[in-house]
Amino acid sequence: MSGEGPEEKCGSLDCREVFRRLDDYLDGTLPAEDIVAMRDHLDACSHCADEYGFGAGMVAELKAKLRTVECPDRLRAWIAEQTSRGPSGESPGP
Amino acid sequence: MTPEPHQDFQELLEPVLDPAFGMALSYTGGSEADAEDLVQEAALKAFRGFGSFEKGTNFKAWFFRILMNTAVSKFRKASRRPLEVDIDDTSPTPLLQQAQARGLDVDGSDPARAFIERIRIESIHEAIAELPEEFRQVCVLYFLEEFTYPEIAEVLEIPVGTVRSRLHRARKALQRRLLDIAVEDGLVPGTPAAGADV
Repeated sequence: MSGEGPEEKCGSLDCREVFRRLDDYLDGTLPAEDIVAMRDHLDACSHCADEYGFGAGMVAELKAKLRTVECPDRLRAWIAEQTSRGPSGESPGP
Repeated sequence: MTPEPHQDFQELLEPVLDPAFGMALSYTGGSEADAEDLVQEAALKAFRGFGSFEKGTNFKAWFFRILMNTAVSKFRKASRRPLEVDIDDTSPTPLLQQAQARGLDVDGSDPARAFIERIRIESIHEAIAELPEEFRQVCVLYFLEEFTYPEIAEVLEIPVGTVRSRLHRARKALQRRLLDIAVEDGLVPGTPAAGADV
């Protein structure tokens, strides 16, 4: 894949078409026939395969890093205390 | 014995507090104190409105909608600031080439992991906070909770096609911003590599 440069055709898709579909391929939202065409191209084109690998890796690593966040214990305790009296009662503000 | 409504509420809320706090950080740009305030306010609103929650439906989606609405109203003023992220950058240059152009070493076995490991989590929260509201919403639901497109559509009450379009643009904008941050923080040289196509 070469961005604005010449496009290589591997299988039924060229690099530009593959680039346009990468997000959908990554999220598994392409129709079955397009998935096969994408897979064929990625198997044959190392530039697109590298690009896909980097994009998919970025998404996976971002998800993993963002999910390491934990709610502070003091906040957990505060909420537990404020919601222990029944919703009909007067709840003090934060 | 039937549990009291507040016991049901606590049982449903407890497992979603970690991702809720993470989502709050993405609204406050990494400020923990503001994120705590935001989650407190949303939790109380949800508690007071728990009677309107339909038992057996998706509590997480219901609570996150309250959290996001609270965030939008609480930080309305901040959300009007000039955007720092160009969401509509239509550069055709693929991400890996952009990374190479900024001097990122992409020759290792897992360059994406090596890159994200070096970026501070606070910087990631700041980058998400800089996105326009409608793009930030889909981003946090996608990255923090791995909601599917239909689930994001349910939370935000928008069509699935809109989710897809916003998510693709937001993801690209976020990745570009992270590359910029890497340069600003001195994690990569920021000088175009020879022959880079940008």
